[in-house]
Amino acid sequence: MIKILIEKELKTILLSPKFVAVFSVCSILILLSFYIGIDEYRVALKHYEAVNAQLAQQTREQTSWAAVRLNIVRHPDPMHIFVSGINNDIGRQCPITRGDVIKLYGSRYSDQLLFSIFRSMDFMFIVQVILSLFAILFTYDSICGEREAGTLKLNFANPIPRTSYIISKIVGSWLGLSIPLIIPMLLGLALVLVCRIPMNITHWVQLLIIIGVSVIYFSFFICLGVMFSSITKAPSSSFLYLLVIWIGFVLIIPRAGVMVAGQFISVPTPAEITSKLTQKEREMSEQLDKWQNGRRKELESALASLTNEEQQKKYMEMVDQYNKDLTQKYDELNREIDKYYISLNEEWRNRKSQQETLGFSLSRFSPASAFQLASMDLAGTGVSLKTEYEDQLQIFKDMFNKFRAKKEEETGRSLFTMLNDDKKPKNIDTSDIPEFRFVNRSLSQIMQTTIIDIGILAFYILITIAGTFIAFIRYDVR
Amino acid sequence: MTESINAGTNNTIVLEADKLTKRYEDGVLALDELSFTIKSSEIYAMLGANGAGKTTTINLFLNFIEPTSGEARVMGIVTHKEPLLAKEKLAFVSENVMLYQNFTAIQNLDYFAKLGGKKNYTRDDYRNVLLRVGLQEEAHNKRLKGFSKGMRQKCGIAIAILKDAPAILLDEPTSGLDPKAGYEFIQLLDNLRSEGKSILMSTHDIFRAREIADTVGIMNQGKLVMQAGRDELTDKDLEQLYMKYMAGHMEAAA
Repeated sequence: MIKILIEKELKTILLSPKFVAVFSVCSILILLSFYIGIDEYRVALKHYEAVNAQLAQQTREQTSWAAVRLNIVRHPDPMHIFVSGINNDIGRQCPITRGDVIKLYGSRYSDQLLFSIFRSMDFMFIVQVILSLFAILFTYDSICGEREAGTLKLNFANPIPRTSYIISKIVGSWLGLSIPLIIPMLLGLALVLVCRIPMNITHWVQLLIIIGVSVIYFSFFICLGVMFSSITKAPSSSFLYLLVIWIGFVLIIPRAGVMVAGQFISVPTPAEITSKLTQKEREMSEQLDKWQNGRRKELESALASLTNEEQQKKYMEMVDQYNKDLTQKYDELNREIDKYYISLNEEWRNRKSQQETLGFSLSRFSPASAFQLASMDLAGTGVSLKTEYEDQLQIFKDMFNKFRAKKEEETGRSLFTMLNDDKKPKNIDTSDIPEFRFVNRSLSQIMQTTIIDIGILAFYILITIAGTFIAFIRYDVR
Repeated sequence: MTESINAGTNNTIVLEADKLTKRYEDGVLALDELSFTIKSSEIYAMLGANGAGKTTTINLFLNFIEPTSGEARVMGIVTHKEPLLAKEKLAFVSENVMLYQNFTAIQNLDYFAKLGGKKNYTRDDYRNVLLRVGLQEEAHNKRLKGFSKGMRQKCGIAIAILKDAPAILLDEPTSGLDPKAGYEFIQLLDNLRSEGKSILMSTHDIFRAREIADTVGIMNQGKLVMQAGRDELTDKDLEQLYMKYMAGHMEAAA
């Protein structure tokens, strides 16, 4: 019985004009998003290779390790083709110097503001916004529409269990909407293969899970549509309710959650942190000046009571001591500033983390947010990307600075000696220079965070399926 | 359940209403202890004004609603207790047959035949039954979008025939049909009766009812106020009777 009902449902959908419209729109958008994604990936790869080649050339031409300046460019990841996430919002480069703080700069959106106005439409966006809307369009009249048309009565004049009917409605609509998703998706993947995008096994698994999560996500909207068409009697009412819910889930709740979190937990801005740091540096500088003045006075009074000869000798000793103490003091104050910066940074991170946790927890009331967060995590373009990148860069910076110091020691050439050397120096050997490689989180690590969102989506589906069954068991088919 | 009943045998009770009562949640009494029986090869016409309870009776047989008290039985099966089993024995044609607009006539027939448990029909069977109900061959493979009400009604009858159920429920089947289509429809009912089908027909059409029905029942405000067999009606003018009972009950109600 279910098979007959599903076949009918599928046939009804496939023969309807809305299927043709949905299939056309989905095909165009999905293929276009893949094409644009591939193109952007290639451009990013070219940029990466060009900058790296230039940097390697510059490094090879250096004659002292002290003059080596690294500029790390983020390597584009093929997963960005499907889910761009925050990839275009965070910086693409980071200079590795002795003193500067690790910070990615030069994001695509800051460099090309036009794209930040109308952001790119990736696969995730298509599923999150467009496919969920289509799921509603497919299902808003699935029960009440049949009732209004009179076919529901004719169907139930036959020995059909209500559960079979409602299952067939859900499954039929699901299959009907899967076609406009799966076919363009397969064509898009063929495009990825033809364009020789270097996807490894992990990438394919990640992509497969993203597709799976997409299917779960639009299944929720299908169940929601069938549920409302089983609650209401007129398709127009069903559509109105669903549209309001869709707006709430897709457009309002995700933003509202983040806004509420922003109101409850304030995170200091970079300007505030810089201001605090400057204040601290000023205090330290004043402290240093005070210390220097004190020492200078001590020095002068000590020298006044001595003879010229003694003065000369003592002066040299005291200046030596003063220089040593000054360096020590200077280092001490610098350490204190560093410590202060670390504490500020730690506080900033903690508050940011608290804000994110609250924001995401509130946003997760919307399946659209759960889907977005899961997809971004799976693609490695979630909010943690920036922090993870900068953390790994920090480790690399420390390692590189040690490497450079060692090399300087080995070669015995500092920036100073290099500037005062008359002989034409040899270029440095850069063959063993460390290379920065960003290590993505492993699949199991990704799944640990993603499983929460998948669970939320599954929970929402269960709720809507239960609601659909309860509503339809009591539905007046007349 | 009456075990002695056998389908297809003359004088076998196929459809039975036993003190069937329906009071809606808003307190309206739609049916008040309605009782009648319809045997095989018998056509029962229910006459009555709008709101008399004709459609409610059909809805109770189809278990679209549950009775407040009493029982509707199909071949002894109580419809609200075993609805799926009862529906196997019932075919239904509504006042305004609405089928799937994007399907052709044959696709609609195929779907509803399968739904009724008949999975072995061929396209020829569908064609034959459509021809039998008077739907021209060129319309068989056309989508229902452009079909007139009469054409859709013919498809509805074809679906009921294909189900081959012992009982057929018709809810005002001739309303909106032109005289020729109405005549053809009555001929078709006559054929179905001769095949042993029991037919319960609700209608406003007194003339068609008198022409075809073996028994006519007049309903008013949920009650069966008059029931007469074909023989009893021969010398009487059904229209006058109908008006008399309507007026009588209106007076009583006043």
